[in-house]
Amino acid sequence: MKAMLKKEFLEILRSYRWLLLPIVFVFLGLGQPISFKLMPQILKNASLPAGTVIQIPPPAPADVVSSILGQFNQLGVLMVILVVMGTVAQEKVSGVAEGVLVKPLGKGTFLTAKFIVYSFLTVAACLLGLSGGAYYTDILIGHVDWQQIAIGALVYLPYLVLVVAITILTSTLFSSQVAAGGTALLSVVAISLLPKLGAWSNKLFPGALTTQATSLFHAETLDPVWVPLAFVGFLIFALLAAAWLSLRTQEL
Amino acid sequence: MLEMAEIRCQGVDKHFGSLKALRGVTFEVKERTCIGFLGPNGAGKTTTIKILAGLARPNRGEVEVAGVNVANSPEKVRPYIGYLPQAPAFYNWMSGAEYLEFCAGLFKLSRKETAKRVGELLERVGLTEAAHRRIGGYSGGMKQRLGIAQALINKPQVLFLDEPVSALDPIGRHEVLQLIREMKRETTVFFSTHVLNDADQICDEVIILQQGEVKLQATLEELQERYAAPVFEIDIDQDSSLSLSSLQTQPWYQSHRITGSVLTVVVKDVKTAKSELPRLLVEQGTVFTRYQMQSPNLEQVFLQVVNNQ
Repeated sequence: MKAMLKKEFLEILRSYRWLLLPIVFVFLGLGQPISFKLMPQILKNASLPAGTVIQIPPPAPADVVSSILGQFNQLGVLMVILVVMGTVAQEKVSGVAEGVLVKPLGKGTFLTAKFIVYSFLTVAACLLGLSGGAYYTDILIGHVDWQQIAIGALVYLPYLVLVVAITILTSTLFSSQVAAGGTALLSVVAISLLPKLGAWSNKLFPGALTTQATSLFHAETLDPVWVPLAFVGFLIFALLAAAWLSLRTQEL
Repeated sequence: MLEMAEIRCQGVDKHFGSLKALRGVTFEVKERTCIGFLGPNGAGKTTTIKILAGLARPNRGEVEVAGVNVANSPEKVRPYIGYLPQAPAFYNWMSGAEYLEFCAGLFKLSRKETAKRVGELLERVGLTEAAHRRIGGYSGGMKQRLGIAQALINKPQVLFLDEPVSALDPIGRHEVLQLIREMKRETTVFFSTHVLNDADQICDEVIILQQGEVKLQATLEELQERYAAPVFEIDIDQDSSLSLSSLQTQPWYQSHRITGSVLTVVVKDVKTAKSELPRLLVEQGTVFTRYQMQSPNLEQVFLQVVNNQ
């Protein structure tokens, strides 16, 4: 496990993935408070017909922070998928997986090491982006309750880790990176739509975590978060187990 | 000492959909033997090696390597084998030394052992100078040598090499053959090739595979005997007399030809002729400077086996 973890860390270091992902998340995080702040200015400069009256209520800090998660859910998730999608598929196609897995390295260890390192990277990038965004919100918009942000982040992060697990599974199932990335993206979209099925699904499915995190930013108490959290934990485990079973039956 | 079978294949079948890649492949390889695994392209050489290395599962049959039942528990054989794929691939962003260190880590070698082993292997395959360069910049020959080094990291009991020399230029080929020659003192070497001259140079035994079936397994000496052409060439000393009358009465004699000072005799029975022909010549006072049985090269044997359906 140690050798494999070291290898994965070295790989994200050498391939500059360690820079890419945090930069994207920080960019997305800082973008929200800045654009909220500048919105009136932008509109004023726009060539609107004379006499147009637009009234924008000053944004609440909690809304701004929530909108950061909205950004993460789209571009952020896409970036996570792009960064992870080749991790198994590429090694299978190049043939390096064959040379490595013929050595005493369990296929479970092979996948788990990847999951750990990419989850770590994703969590770090997200935390960096979120705290940067919240900090700017605090400066530009208004007072931010850091405790709420921390709790909200704790609830939201498992969702991104789930995206990593999904992508590792699709990367194991397919030999093409593009197929792996595409399927992962479709799965994430499907999962984010599931909560809209009804009240019961809203409480269960991972998409609920975003909603929960958002309400936590607003310091509202909502449904108990442990239900979707436990479900996400279960899903992550099941996805990795599926990847392991699939890799076991594959002949390299 | 009892000689143990290091590799045992018994009735191995492998199907890919409707294609029957291997059909009842059966052979045994003794310890410390260097086996040349020959066959035309598409005969199933790579498939067989992957099954032996535990990377693919046979549909039927028993496979045993280093005393481990590979078909049932491929993971148990991993510590004892080394494997060089046909087109070895690496993490190109690593340096050669880093890749070997990573491999040593997979075998859980201690830090001290790792440093020692990696240094040794780099030296052995001639990559010491390039050790800290990225693998991405290595030439084909260097990658092949790194591939051999990574296969040796655990001092394997059995070493599988899939086409180790086929993609190399003559110099690279020579270097790799030299490496294999050194390795066969320590381990059982099982290597596939379609370059027959190479097998001829370094292996003790050959197995010929065709269309998923073993056509032949024999030591090189056995091959010489079995496929020897019934032709002898003798250089006769110019001052010496030559009488062929008694030769022509021998039951094993078939025909002869004299070209300059070279006498060529074709016989019916190689085994008897081999012992009697020189004696006969000497008895008649013929002095000869060269006596040779035309020995078949592996290529001729191979073509004979493969075309003899």
